[in-house]
Amino acid sequence: MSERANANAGLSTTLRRVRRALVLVAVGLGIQLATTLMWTPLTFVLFAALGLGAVGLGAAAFLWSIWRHIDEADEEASS
Amino acid sequence: MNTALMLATTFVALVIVIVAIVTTTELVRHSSGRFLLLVAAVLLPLAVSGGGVLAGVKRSSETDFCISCHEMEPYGRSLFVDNAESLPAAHYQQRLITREQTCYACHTDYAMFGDVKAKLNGLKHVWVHYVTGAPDKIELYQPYPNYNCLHCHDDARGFLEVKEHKKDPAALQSGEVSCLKCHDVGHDLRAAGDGPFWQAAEKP
Repeated sequence: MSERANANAGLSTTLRRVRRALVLVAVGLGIQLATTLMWTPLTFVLFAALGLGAVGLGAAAFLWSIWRHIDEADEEASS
Repeated sequence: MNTALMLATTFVALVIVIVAIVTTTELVRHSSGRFLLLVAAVLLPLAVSGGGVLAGVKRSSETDFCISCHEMEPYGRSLFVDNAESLPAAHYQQRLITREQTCYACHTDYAMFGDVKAKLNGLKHVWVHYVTGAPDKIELYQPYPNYNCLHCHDDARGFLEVKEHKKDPAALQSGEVSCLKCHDVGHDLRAAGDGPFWQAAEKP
């Protein structure tokens, strides 16, 4: 595979990871929105456990995907 | 943060994240777009979630929230019983505590992690309500601590001038003598069933 093709493949992998992370964040915000509409003790727990959990995981996954992208680009440059 | 504002900010954040999902390919091409992705995926959602947690914690401290479970309904009604000896009723009706946070004002320890402990206990209550079922007799986790009373009454004139309080203030401070030894009517659940109830007079 050529260098350019390698770079494109790397970028599309990163894009996929970023999109997945964003989807997770969107799901978390969606749960937060839904639970806020009907505020009860149970929905507060769901808000905290699922809503915050998904947003936190999504944000972490986003940062991780950027980290991986930089790491892989460095490896590629050094090889 | 009130509920409407919280809903609005969460909705706007959600829309921004969805737009970012749809336009990821275009956004990564420019540095400003990449920064926007960082905002959409990390900064904005975390800020909105943080605001949501603060608003949620505040709302979960409100009287309506506490008595929204049927197990707590009699305790909510006991705030209106016509019994001046009943501590919760007297505190509520005389406005000695804020009506918005009636339960929270007396059932949260005024200690360093009192709020955290109250919220963790709240989690336990949700579990009991939905999973194991509430016990027939609801009891406090620990004997009611004097420092929760003294937090407000300690230097109040009405407290200081009572003869009995002057006898051994150290015993009251240390909790050796419980406030409930004399003030022994908590929630008047018998009267909460069929009254009599106090009705707030209508404002002229």
